[in-house]
Amino acid sequence: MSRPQEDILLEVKGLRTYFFTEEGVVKAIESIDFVVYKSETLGLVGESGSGKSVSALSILGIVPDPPGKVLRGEVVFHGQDLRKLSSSEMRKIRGNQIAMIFQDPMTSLNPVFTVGNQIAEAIILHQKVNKKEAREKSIKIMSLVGIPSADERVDNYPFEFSGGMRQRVMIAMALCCNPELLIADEPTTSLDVTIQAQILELLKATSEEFDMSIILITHDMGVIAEMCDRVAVMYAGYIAEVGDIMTIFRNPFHPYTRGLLGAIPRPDANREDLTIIRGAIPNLINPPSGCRFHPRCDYWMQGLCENEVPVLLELEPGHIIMCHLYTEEGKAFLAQRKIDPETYMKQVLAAQ
Amino acid sequence: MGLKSYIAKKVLFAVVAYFAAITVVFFIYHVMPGNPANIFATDPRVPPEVRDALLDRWGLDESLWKQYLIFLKNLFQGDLGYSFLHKRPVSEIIGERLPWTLLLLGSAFIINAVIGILLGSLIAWRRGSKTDTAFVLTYNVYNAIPLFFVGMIFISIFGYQARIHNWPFYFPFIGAKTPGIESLGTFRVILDVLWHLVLPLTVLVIAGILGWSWFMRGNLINVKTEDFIQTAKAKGLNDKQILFRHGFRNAILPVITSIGMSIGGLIGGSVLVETVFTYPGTGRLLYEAILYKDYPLLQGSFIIIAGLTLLGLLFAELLYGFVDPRIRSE
Repeated sequence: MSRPQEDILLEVKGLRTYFFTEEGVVKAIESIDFVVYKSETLGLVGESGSGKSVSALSILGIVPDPPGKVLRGEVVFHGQDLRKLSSSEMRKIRGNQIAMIFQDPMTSLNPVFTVGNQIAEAIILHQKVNKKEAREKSIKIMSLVGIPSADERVDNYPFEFSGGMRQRVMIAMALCCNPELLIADEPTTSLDVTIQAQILELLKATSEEFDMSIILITHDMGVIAEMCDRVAVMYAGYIAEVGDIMTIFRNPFHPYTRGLLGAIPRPDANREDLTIIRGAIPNLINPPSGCRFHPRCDYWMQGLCENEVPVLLELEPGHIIMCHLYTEEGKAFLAQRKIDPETYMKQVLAAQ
Repeated sequence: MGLKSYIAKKVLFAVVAYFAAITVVFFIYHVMPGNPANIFATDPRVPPEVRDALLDRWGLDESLWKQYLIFLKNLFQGDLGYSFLHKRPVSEIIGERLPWTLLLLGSAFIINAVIGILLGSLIAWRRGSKTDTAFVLTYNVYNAIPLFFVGMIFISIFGYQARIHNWPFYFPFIGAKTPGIESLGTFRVILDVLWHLVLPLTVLVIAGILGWSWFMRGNLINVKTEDFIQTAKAKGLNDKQILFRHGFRNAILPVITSIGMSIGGLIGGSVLVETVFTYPGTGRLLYEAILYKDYPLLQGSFIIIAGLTLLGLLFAELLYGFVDPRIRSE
């Protein structure tokens, strides 16, 4: 499934973000490419440390600097490259056209201001309204995101709210200027399960109501299945695979995506069948050469994968993958050894 | 749980704490060896009628509990006792010295806190810049030099060298005013006092501003890594708004505690600076009282220090209540 060019809201091209620390240069994002279409929910999934959050911060241009720096790439939003904007132009987009909510609602609100003040602050910043109107708008948006008796709660401080309610406040703050794109960085990770479902439901409902696109960052495949139209799988600073939700869940191509899916426990399956991905995400100061996944990959083609970074391939419309199993180099590599790629994959699977 | 009940609770707590503090001071002073009863009662040079008169006057021949009640009664009437060393009422001596200390340390304190907090914020904002590096270096070097040594260098340069080489200016370094200056009128007295204040104040202010800025800088740098700062950024606020609206108010909280605690320390004075500059403040008074085992004077000073400390802490807690909503509702 691929939508026409004019439906693209945001396009990230070759974005690279490094962190210059005392221990060395952390190559958090090497090169990422993906698009977000209008009013869709794109899931950004991967293990902790794969660069999901840094991607979000890089898009918004709020990577902590120092030590972080976006080194190259384009973030095209409505046809203009956000990276070329001045900082004051960028501030007009942040919180206005592109809003973001964070993982931990317990610490993401300023403890010494009322929630009403914090929502109104964003409204006043981006819209021509006075304090009174901003306050009324805050109350309205608070009740919209399901905060009961919002007209009283508006004067409460964050510590007087539960975690779920605080996340609703964060969502209210993000929605108050009708953003076209909402970046939700693990919005439910720190909440308990029943509250998680409510918050996801709320995000879904508001994205439809506001006709808003969402980039949903998570490491929870269940959340992805619930929420997303398309999925981008990240690994160690690269996009490993992008596809629509059906393709990714039914017919994943990348060994890493397969690993992630195999690691989801299913009530109907034998628990011993749960596969794990060997090892852990690599140290990004000295990442593995070539394909960064090769030391953990069951399909590692020795002599190729560790030497060359695979190119991004669009296998079928909208299904993009970065893996040597599908590149010309990979095919040539196997052909040299007189192995058919399909057979190779089957052999590896059988060997497990 | 409004602000009012918060204030009432804190005031009540301060009163109770003060009562506990003066009780401890009283008993410590009475269980220490060499208490005044012994000194007066066993010194053969004290004529018996004087001894009896003194013992009777302070109730020193009474039981400890009776003495405690007398002490409380006297304290309530503003009687802090009688100094062995100065042979005068303690309240009178402290009353004489306290204004000088408050002038010196109070003005230093206000200058330090205000400039220190502002400077610290600005430096934290430019963290990692050349200004910041220069500040860190200055702070560490200056902190490594003892205050009295800095004082002596100042005396040597601006008091001594300036005078013998006939520089256009020099500053006095002994006492708080020129003896007999009163005869020239109030205006001249004020000028003279300020003139005497310059060197000791400068020594205190340099150290103080560096210290407070350091503290504020650290707080603000910590706050800058908080999640809500990132939220503020994502909202589209600019650096100035983020720092002064969201950062400052959170970073100032620990500073308020520090301010409150320092108020009590003011009366203890700066023994080193007051000694180097022979300044007639309570710091030196206290130092002498310890040196000569002048227990009544020590006791009186501690009672006042405890009071000011509690007042300072109370002030800090009330301020906290205004600044931090979480504290208010506890």
